Amino acid sequence: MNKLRLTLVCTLLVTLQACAAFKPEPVKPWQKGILAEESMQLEADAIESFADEHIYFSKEASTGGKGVGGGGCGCN
Amino acid sequence: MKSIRNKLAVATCTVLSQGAQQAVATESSWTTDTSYLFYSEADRVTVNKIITRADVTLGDNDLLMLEAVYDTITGATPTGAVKSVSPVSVTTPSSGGAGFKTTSGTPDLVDFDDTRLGVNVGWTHSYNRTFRVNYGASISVERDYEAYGGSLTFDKETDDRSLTFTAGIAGSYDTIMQSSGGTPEPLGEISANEGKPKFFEAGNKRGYEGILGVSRIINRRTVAQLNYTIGSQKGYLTDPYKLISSTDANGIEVERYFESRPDNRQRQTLYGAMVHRLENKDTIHLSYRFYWDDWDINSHTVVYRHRREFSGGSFLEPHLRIYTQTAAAFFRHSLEYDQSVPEYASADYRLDEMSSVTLGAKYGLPAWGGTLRFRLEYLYQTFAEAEYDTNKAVIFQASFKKAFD
Repeated sequence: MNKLRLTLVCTLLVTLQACAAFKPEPVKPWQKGILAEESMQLEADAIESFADEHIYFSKEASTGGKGVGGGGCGCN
Repeated sequence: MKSIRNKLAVATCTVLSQGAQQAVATESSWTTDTSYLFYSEADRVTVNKIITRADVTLGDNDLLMLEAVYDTITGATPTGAVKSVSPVSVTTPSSGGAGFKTTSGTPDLVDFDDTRLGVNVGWTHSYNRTFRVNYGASISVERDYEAYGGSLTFDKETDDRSLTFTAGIAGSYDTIMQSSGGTPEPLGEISANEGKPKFFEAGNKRGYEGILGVSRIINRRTVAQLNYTIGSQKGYLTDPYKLISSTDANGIEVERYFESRPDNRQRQTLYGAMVHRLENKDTIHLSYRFYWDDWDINSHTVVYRHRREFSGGSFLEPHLRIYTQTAAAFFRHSLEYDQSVPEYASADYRLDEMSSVTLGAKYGLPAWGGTLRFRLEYLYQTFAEAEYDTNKAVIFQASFKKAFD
């Protein structure tokens, strides 16, 4: 029982810590240094993403979600 | 006093010259990214793909994007027919330059090769500090498939630029045929006894798509995005090469047909993504997509990337992608010989219930004034009922990106 309580408390602490990391805060223009880095972009590697969309379009029945447009193909 | 005057003059000149350099830099700058991709399935399809992309900044308000892709595709792909030894002599479909041709004794797999050339262009114009419009166009040509598309996307930021609202529309027009020309009669029988199946002219497909999205800066280390898309396709949505067998009680093929799909499909997606910089300076990318359509296909896709930077500008980025989907309402492994043929039926493994897992990593490093990236991944797919119940593939990609002033 004590082990279960300890596990629950630890899980709660980790969850709270994770939530704190995503807590909304106003960001001033001079505080956007990290956000401006290439690795922080929502589409960090456009050419890789383009290749992946083609692969999974060809091998799965679902597609889309990130945007609209782009060429189709008769891929098998 | 003279010394101070000289220092001020030097400082003024330095500031002015830097300003001039920046002014030149904003007039026009280029970023190019060129990539080679190798995709190879165990004993099946191999794809070699070259992609090159240029992003050109013109002044403060315009960005041009040019992208070209060239694919060569070879190997064998499942037709949908069952593996059992068939009494039917096959009049098989053909595709691409050299065309589909049956592998001896296995009508369930056909060899093929094909090439594809695609071009995408985009122009983004900022009408003011917080509003921009992207105009896009695309064309893709294979011997048996042509696709033309256009898109229009609006982005509006709030004054503090913490929120970006996106709205967009796109349209496409595709032409589909076998490489020998024309499309087979849906559920037309392929049998030496019945003569050649009927063929019609090339099929056409129109597509419309819309997107509403919002992205938000959560804090100094986190950005998030949420998109909703809705799309409609009308016209020839059947694959002119795919087949379906009818079998007896022992699973032995009796007849073989071309597949048939509905001529209408409505798709929707909800997509959420988040990028977060951890305290240890690693960056995590997490995304989730829920997809559903009126063919009864629902899917969940989760993608996780974890990037660690090293001194000297190199980085390592492990990647995990997990995907599951339900089967299309008209998917069948095969038809029963003594039952009537339904209006729609397909044995295409891509319409089956499936799970896909992709695991791999990307390594990047500075080189020749740009960034060189290599990624290696392994894709493993399992299918619930399809004749070929697994697909295993290796994906390798090498890319080089460089900026020019």
